[in-house]
Parts: sequence; structure tokens; C-alpha cells
Amino acid sequence: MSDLYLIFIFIYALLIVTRTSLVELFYFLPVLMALILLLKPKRALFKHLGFLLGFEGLLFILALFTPGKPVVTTPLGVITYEGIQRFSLLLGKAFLSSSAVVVVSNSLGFPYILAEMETLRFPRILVLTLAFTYRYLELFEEETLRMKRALDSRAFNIGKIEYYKKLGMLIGEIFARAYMRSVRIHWAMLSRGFGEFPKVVEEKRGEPIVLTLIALGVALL
Amino acid sequence: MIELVNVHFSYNNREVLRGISLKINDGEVFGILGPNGAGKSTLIMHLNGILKPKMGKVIVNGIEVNKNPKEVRKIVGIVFQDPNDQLFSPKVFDDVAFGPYNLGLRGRELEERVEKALRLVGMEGYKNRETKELSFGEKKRVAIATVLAMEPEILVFDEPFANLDFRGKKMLRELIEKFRGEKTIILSSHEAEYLTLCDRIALLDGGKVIKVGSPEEILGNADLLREHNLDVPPLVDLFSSLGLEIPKSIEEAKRKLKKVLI
Repeated sequence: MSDLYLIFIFIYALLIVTRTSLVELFYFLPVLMALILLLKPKRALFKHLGFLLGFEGLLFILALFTPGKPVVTTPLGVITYEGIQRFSLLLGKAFLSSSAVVVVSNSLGFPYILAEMETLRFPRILVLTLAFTYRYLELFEEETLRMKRALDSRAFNIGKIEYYKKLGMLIGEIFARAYMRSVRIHWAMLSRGFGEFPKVVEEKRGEPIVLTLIALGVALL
Repeated sequence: MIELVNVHFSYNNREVLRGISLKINDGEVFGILGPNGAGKSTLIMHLNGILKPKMGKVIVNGIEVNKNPKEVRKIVGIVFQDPNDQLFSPKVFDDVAFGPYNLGLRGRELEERVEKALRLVGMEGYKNRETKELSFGEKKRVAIATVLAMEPEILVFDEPFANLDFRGKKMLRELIEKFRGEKTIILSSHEAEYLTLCDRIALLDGGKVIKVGSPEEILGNADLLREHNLDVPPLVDLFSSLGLEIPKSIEEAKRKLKKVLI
């Protein structure tokens, strides 16, 4: 019972990506809503979902220009009826499937997902990589902020072009620093007998309702 | 016992260690003192085979590190200078459990080991916390716990007192005192005042061992310290000028001063 969220996400995502029309996708919206209501995630979730929607919207923006019946002409090209349909379908699939992961990890915590992955015997290297990514994204963000503050504190009296040049260099530097840190982390791991990753001991909440969600997903298929 | 024999190491073409030879005895609290860039951290990374010498050898308890680094890593635990380099798991428990898990501990035994290590650094109750939520000082203490949990015979601390508040420093001093004689402890620092609790100190500069001696011989030699861009701790300066043995703690200093003054 304890490892069903991940299975639910997997089945739910699989069902979504195999849909071929917007109407079919629409039926998955109540499932996502139900998941949000059940897990009672933090308020920040909606901000995260907003970012996700915006990001995925940008990813698929080119789909709007699919050849077909013109709707509106923009400086970038002609947006077509077929383009809007294709864009909506792609965005709907991407958003609905990825948002389930965001809802679960936001409310239960990412370590919970990792614990489930371990119990489900996902390859250790995958779990380890995700654990690192989660841990170091925050450090990466912190380092970026610190460097940006350092730049801003001294970047007076310079033009916009010069500022963005410096910002570009800063981004490069962040990646170089991230690489250096990864080397040191590897050393730390080796120092402690790296070979295997410990089990994530986690109190797991077995909720029968997940079964209902899975059943609902299967029924929708 | 740890023995370094003519150890040379270079990063690309920059030579960082230039023929280091040292012997560190069992149960000793040994200090490595040197200015920034002296090669302290590089030397420490050689003690459990993280870095391999270009020339020379490192021997720990009779095992040549290069030949069997995995075995040596069970004996030598290193606490890194920056805890963010040491803590790589999302949760405190996972990180502290990483080492003992690799040693083969499982279940209740593993949990007990983690709890014991966290207790030693005053971080009991933090095992379910996310690493990213901790302050720098707390991260540093958890980083120490990650190594203590492996119960190594040799504990190595790279700049352990850096960025620790009073409570953290006190905890670390007490920890060193607790393990004195029981484990070999190696402390590296560019701040001489933190090495007063060592039995012996090696002064390192430019990748070479300049001098090895007692705290009196090293820390009491103000000219030697200044020559190598190191601060002379005021307390050490005072005691050396009075011709007294350097105290290992403020309490000891108080006792000694009382004796002199009365």
C-alpha cells in the first residue's frame, strides 16, 4: 500500500500521453483535482504549477505555427487552427502528467518519492542521481543568488549590454563551480565507502484512496 | 599509525606537495598548521586515498593506501572543510547512514549508529530534517556526525573550527577530548589558536613540512609563525613570554595563571 503513489503517477502519466484528443484529456483534470484535494499540498504548489504551465507552454510554442487554416498572423508566423489544437494537446499532456509528480512531491516531500523508488527497486544509480539533483538544486540556486547579488552590488554605471554580458559570464561560472563541487562531493562519497546507497528509511503513509485513483485512471482508459 | 614517505603531488603542473614525510602515532592528537595554499587539504586527501601521490607512499596501520584504499577508508574518516561538499543526501538520516550502510550495517543497528553519532554532535532530533533546512553550523555538525557514524580509528578534520559559533566550537573541543587517546585525531587549520589542544603539530608551507614539534615548540615560536604568515594566538604569546607550557584550554590557562600570580 505504501508504494502506490509512484505507480499511480506512472499509470496516470502513461494514460495521459496516449490520449489523442483534448476531450479525452479533459477527463483527467478531475483526477488531478482529486489528487490535490486529497494530499492538501502547500500553497506554493499553485505557484509551482503556474511556472510549470508557463515553461511547458514555451516549450511547445512552435506547435502553434503548424500549417493549416489561419487564425491570426503574428510577426513570428501564422497561428493556425490545427496549430492551436496541437499546442493545446501537447501542453495538456505535458502539464497534466508532470503536475501529478509536482503535487505528490510538494505535499509528501521529494524524499518520499525517492523512498518509494527504492522500495520499487528502481536502479540505485537513478535514485542516487535524483537525490543529488534535489539536494544540489537548492545549493545551485543559493550560489546563483549570491553571485547575482555580488554582480548587482558592483554593476552600477554600466550599460545593459555590458550587464547582460557579465550575467552570461556569471552563468558560465556557476556551471564551472557546480562541476568543482561535484568533484568534491564524489570525494566525500568515496571517503565513506561509496559503493551502495543506503535505504531511505521513511515512515510511509498507506492510503487506500490511491487505489481508487488508480482504478479511476484505469477506468478512464 | 600513519606514515607518509616522501609524498609528492601536483595538480596539472602545479606541485602542491613536495616530499612530505611524517609519522603520526596511534592515539595522538596531531595538528597540521599552515597558511592558505600550504597543501593541508591536499595532504589530508592522501590519508584515505582520495588523492594518490605522484611519488612516495602513504601507509595507514601497515596498509599502503594506494594498494587498498577501500580498506583504509574504513579506518580513516575525513570531515571536509565545507559541509555542503560532505552532505549530499536530501535528509539528515540518509547522509549519516551512508557510511555505516556501506560498512554493512542494516535495520535497527544502522538506526542506532546514526542516532548515536547525532547525539555526539548535539544534533539528536534532527534525523528527519531536510539537509537544506539546516544552518551552516548545523550542517557542519551533521557533517562531523556522518564520519563519527562510521566509528573510524582515525578522525581527520579539515579546518573544523571554521564558521562554527561558540557552541559548535565547544562541542568540537569536547568531542576531541572525549576521543583523546582512544582514536588518532588529525586537525588541520591555518589558525594556530585551535591547535593548542594537539599533542604534536606539523607546520606546513609551500607543500613542505617546515617543522614538527610540540605546541610549545611550534606555537610558542612567534617568529616562526610570522615568517609563515600565521597569527600568533594572544594566549600562546602570553604563556610563551612567561616561559610557561601552553595550555590546552581556557580553564587550564586560568589554573596556570592563578599558580603564577599567587
